[in-house]
Amino acid sequence: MADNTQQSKLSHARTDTQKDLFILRELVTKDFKIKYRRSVLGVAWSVLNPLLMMIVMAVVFSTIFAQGRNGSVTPELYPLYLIIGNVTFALMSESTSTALSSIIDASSLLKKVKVHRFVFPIQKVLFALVNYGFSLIAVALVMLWFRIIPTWHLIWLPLGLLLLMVFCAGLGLLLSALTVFFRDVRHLWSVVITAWTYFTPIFWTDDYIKAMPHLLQLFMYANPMYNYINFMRQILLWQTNPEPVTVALCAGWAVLMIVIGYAVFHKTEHKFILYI
Amino acid sequence: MATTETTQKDSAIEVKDVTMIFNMASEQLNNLKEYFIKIMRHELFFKEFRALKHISFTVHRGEVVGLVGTNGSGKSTMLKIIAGVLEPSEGECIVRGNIAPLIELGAGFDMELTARENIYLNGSLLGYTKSFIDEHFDEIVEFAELRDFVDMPLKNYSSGMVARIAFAIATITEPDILIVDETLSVGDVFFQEKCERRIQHFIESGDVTVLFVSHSMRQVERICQRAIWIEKGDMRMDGPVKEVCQAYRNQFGGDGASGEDAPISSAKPLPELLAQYVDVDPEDWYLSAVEQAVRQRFMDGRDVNHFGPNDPFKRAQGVCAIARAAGVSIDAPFSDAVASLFCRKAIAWAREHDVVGGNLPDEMFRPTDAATRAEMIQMLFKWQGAPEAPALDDWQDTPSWAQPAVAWAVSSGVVKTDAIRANDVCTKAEAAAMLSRLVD
Repeated sequence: MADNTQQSKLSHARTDTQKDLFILRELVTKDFKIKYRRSVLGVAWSVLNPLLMMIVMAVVFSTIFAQGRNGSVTPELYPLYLIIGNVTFALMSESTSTALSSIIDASSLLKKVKVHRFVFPIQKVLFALVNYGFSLIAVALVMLWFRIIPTWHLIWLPLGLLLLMVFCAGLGLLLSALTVFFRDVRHLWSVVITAWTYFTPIFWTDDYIKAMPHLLQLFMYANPMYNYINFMRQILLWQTNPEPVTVALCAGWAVLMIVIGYAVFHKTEHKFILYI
Repeated sequence: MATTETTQKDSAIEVKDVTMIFNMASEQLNNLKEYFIKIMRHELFFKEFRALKHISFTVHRGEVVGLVGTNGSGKSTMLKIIAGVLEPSEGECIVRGNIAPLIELGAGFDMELTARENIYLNGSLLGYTKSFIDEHFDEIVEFAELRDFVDMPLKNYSSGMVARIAFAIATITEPDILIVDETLSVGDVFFQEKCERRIQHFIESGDVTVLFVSHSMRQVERICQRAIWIEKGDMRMDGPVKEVCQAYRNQFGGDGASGEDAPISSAKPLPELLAQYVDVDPEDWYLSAVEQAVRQRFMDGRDVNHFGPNDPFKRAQGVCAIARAAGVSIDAPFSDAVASLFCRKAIAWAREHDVVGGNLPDEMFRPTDAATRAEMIQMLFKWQGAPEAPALDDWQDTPSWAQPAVAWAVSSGVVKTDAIRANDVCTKAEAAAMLSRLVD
């Protein structure tokens, strides 16, 4: 807020970053409390949800895709393959679709208090990360069930998550800014997310993609989410180091997205108050 | 917004050539379809509206400055720019220090969360550190008097309780800059008085820069040293409070009436003291009483050019008038004694001297209720120390609790025998008449 150089009061945060961090922490805590207040199973839902989802999809797709799959993923590994893809994609879809309306939802606050506006989309991305943490418990349970012991390749996980978070933050900033000016984005985005689900190898396995028309294949591989999911699968399922090309693509998408997102957000944010 | 190289070390707020332009679209376009259709048809025109035009001023540390102007003149836009919520279209505004804006209390509260959780959330938005809130948590709860409810969700609170919490958080530390909006009213009478004391304390400390927004000239004159007058986006005047307020009043003197009361046209001129009031009829019965009330400063106008002789007299106004007649100095502007934070002194005085009280079953004074004639007489009676008086032959419809008071009022000539009308609402002119007869 200001320079209290001569006698920095202890009551107020010394720097903007310190203030923003505390705000983010309080806001994410708030989201968390509100989400689980008065639900019997509470936090357990964050673990149960991906598990149940995985079971449904495993049952459906194991039957449909039973023939024609020639072993790129064994039937035993297929549920794990699914749940990793699912939770990783859910992190992106949840964070972007909540970040999208974050500015509008915070309008009463933005009209009255001086806060950095970017904290609201970031808050949603961070909250999605918290949920992802719980989903990882579900992943761990599945691994336990199939007797798969995680290896030291797990140390790549923070990097993968960081890159994905940066990507989501960029996308969230972009969407939240656009939504302020065009409320249609909200409706459009749910369609985009659905389409994106189908163009991402969440339940497709590699041999299916290879059998697809060329254009569709290109779509699949150029898809940023493919890279992030691939990253996760390489370290959790295949238990190898992520391929350099995957890491490079993940990083590239993250940087590209945050640059675009921040640029658009920064250029338009001073006009938000006139539209919310 | 912070600058480390302070050229003038003691300036708290620097507004430099600020212009605020709003693009007012003829209609709000919220979706892409509308937007593209408008672009295609070349219909996307905006009307430019300048809410502020080249405003510049500097407020020094510790100064108490009033911001005056009529409604819609740009005062709140200016405040929002200073508070950092709006960014000026042109120019810049530099603020040094933390701001406690007592304008919109409780922004950022979440009704689902408990008071405890909201104190932390709101505190973070105000820029406090966590350890600071930890340390002062009890103090905040103590001040808000909500110890028993800290772990209850805010949605179960009354609006007064929410406001109390908000006020307590915003003022728990001495801010560098305090923005006070006159219309701020928090909770019941007794809590308001507590708030007023805290604000007064800040003002008196001399370290706090205060920006005070009000329509009431009298209040601005009492509290501020300097005033800035913004009118229709232009800065009209910036200077010592007396001069600015005088100029502001003069503008209205010439402007004629604006308000629900039709101006009274009469051949007879009003006394000079009442000349500014367009709704006082110089030929009506109450003229001398009203003149005396204004001369002796028991009362003043509803606003700069209305006295409101036929307005129902509010209970709080009654107390204020009596307190002033008794020589207690009351800062409150008479016009909105009810809403104002600064009127509580009168009520406190009245309770202390037993002018009111005793008949407050729910501990509520209900300052905004209109007083009946009986209530007004009762207050005057108690102020006089409840003297004995012979009973009347004809009580008319005086309720029994008011009979001693009415008996006294008739015998001492405060009301006329044939017009007690105890249950009627007391008008401002009638109250003025009672008071002036009593004082004579």
